[in-house]
Amino acid sequence: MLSNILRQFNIARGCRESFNVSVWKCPTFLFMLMGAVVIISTLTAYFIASRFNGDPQISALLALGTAFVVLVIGHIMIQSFAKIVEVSRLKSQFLDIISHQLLTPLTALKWSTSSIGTDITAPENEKQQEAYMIIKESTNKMVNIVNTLLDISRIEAGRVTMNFGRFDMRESVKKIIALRAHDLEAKHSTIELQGEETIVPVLADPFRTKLVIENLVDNAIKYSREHSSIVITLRQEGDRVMFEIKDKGVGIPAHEHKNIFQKFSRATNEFSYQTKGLGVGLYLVKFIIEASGGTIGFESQEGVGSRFWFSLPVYKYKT
Amino acid sequence: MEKIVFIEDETTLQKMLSAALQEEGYSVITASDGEEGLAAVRSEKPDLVLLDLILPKMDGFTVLSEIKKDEATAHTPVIVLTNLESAEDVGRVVALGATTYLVKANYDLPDIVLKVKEVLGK
Repeated sequence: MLSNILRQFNIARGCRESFNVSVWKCPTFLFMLMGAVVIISTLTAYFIASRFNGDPQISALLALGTAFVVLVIGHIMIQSFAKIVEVSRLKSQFLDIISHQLLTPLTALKWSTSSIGTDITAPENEKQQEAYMIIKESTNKMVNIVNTLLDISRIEAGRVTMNFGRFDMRESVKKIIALRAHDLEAKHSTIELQGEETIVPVLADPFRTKLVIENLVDNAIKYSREHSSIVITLRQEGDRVMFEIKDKGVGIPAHEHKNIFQKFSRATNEFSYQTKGLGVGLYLVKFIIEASGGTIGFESQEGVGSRFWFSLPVYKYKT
Repeated sequence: MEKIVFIEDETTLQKMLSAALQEEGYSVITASDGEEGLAAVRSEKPDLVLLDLILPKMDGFTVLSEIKKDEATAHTPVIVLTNLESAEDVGRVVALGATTYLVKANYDLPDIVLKVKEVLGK
């Protein structure tokens, strides 16, 4: 009982445990502060009033009564806040569990797909080949969605581990484009890879960087019009490798530019109701690039198209 | 023939990877929980252990530390094969003496077989 009361007063810890924010952003602390301010100002008013004539007791009592009411309201608000935060925490936890649960069947799907890959390349198996490619592309997409969700919950909990290593961007871009054959065909569009034939490797987290490229490529395809061409350029600029992707798509309206890397932000454009997505892609993309010591940016004009680019440091260790 | 003990509670994954490894000429002994797995490592003295982390009866972390504690098995390389990917998990596994750590969903089957070959120095 006593320890419970004491814990109520340990504001810093309460803020950390239940809201996961600093003291100055914590509603518990802010409401306490509000109460204190009201009490102090009431007392000040009392002293000021008592120096002059009039009836200081009554005005002070009134002010104290007001302060008490404010504190009660504050307390109620804190409790409702706590409830909301708890619900949101449970949601994140649920998302995390679901994602982990999905990974096991997805792994099985991925493994079994990769194990039949070589047996159906004969030309008479064209139908199977087609089905096989679709299964493979879709499985990879699902693994990406789940990995994205897991990464988002990791970023929120502040426990992302980057696994740095040597990463060949050109090789990876080629593979990613090859896996988009169906999406491109459906839009009668093409992706062209420009730049030097060989490019120095970068120092990055291979899986996450792949996810970054996939996100940018998928966005370019998604927001392109039919019969358009997307151009990817890779080039070395000093001790950085620059990746650039240009599309002639619907573009991003100027007023949306500042929100584009925000979580759950999706530009409102003519494709809003046609395209699907989690709205977390670019948020994660920016996080990954910046955590790798890179920079990222974009230019976009509504109705003309977008250009997204990022740069990553060159891998300098000998292999 | 090199011997591998594969500890994994998901039977589908267990079957698939075992088959792929057997095709490469390895002898694979499977176990579906931590206790069974540790017993297999102790009795079979394999050349390599493939270990999942979330396991019934005894979790992978405990199995790993038991393997490394016992002089008879301490030198056996252990590849941790899991879908857990947080900093604490990777750090703990490395500190406990695992040779390498692979996130299952990020690898295709042939890539994992390659890693096994690499660790066994083939």
